[in-house]
Amino acid sequence: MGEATLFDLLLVIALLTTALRAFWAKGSFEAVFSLLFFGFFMAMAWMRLGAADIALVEAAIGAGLTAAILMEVLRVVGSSSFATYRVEGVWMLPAAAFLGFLIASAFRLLPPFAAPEGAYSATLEALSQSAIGNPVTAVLLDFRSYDTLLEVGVLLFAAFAVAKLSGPVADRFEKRRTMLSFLSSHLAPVLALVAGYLLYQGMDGSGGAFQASALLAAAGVLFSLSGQPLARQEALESRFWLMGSGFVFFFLVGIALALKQGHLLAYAPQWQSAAILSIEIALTFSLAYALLVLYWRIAHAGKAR
Amino acid sequence: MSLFWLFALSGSGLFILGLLATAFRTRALEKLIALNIAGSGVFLFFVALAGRSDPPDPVLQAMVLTGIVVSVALTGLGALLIRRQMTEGGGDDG
Repeated sequence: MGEATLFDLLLVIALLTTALRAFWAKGSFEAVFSLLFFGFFMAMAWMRLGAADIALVEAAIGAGLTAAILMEVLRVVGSSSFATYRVEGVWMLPAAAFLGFLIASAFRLLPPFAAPEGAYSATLEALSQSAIGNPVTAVLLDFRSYDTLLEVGVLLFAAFAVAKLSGPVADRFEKRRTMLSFLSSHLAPVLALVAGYLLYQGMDGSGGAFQASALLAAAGVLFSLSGQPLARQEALESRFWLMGSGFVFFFLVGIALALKQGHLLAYAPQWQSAAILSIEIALTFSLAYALLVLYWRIAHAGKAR
Repeated sequence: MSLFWLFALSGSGLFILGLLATAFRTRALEKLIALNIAGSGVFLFFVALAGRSDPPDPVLQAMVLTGIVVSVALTGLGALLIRRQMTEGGGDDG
């Protein structure tokens, strides 16, 4: 990583401006839109930092889905004074100053550049022996697959909680929006195709289950917004527990490997690529399903009354 | 100034400012937004740290990738709770 260019400086200024704009927003509307632009600039920052995998996820999930969910809430909550809390955080000021001091001291403790030691060089060595070309995919589904399994569990847990708390969902599609339904029916096949490509490419290049599922979820959000229901959307929504299937598959593969190899999710070299690809395919559908349930249930909660 | 310092410092700044905004904004939805930005600050710091070595450290990048997914889970659950509170009346002084 080299010296910062003028572009990087402008990017950081844009990040800070949109963030401060969100912090000092006059209302929720301004805050949500500032976050949308903030996410967009974050995706550019990831590219500058050489993290294309993260940029893809940030653009689709961080900026896209998060903003879509918040806008759905905004539509209901608006700028009303509901869900308003008193500020009881004056003690936060000295706490934040102390935290800043701690972070500044942590900067001074950082080891110097170009010190490839310990965990980093061990990772690089293991990577050179791995059949998976994309280092991030190798870390996610091989070296630290246990972490990924639990992290998928966290998302599913949140989606289950949302599905359970949202109550009965009814009266879903108020009106068809012609422009959007044209756009969604023409864009969705392209999004599905790109998702498939990213999923497969994730073995050797940028991409993978998380990126692919984010794109599939984006296609679903587009359909939902257009007022044109996805085929079988009702069935998908009422069988939301099916979104757990990818997690269960991941877990069962882990158990099977544990019985055979003696360690949870320890792949035998000859099965590594096949096992990882099949887990990624199962995870893509499961994660896309969970992200969509998150969006659908929030967008349509409480309308039954 | 190197890329590392630029992004690591702004990440730290975003984190601290985001925490403060989480405490000082009064509406739950705006608290959720501030918390999201504070989280992004942490991610920015992590990826800047990963980029100090060449090739970038994939472990830190993978942690940030999963972190983004966890933060959308947090946002979704928070958003639903806010929406429920709205439809059923609430807010501790609203």
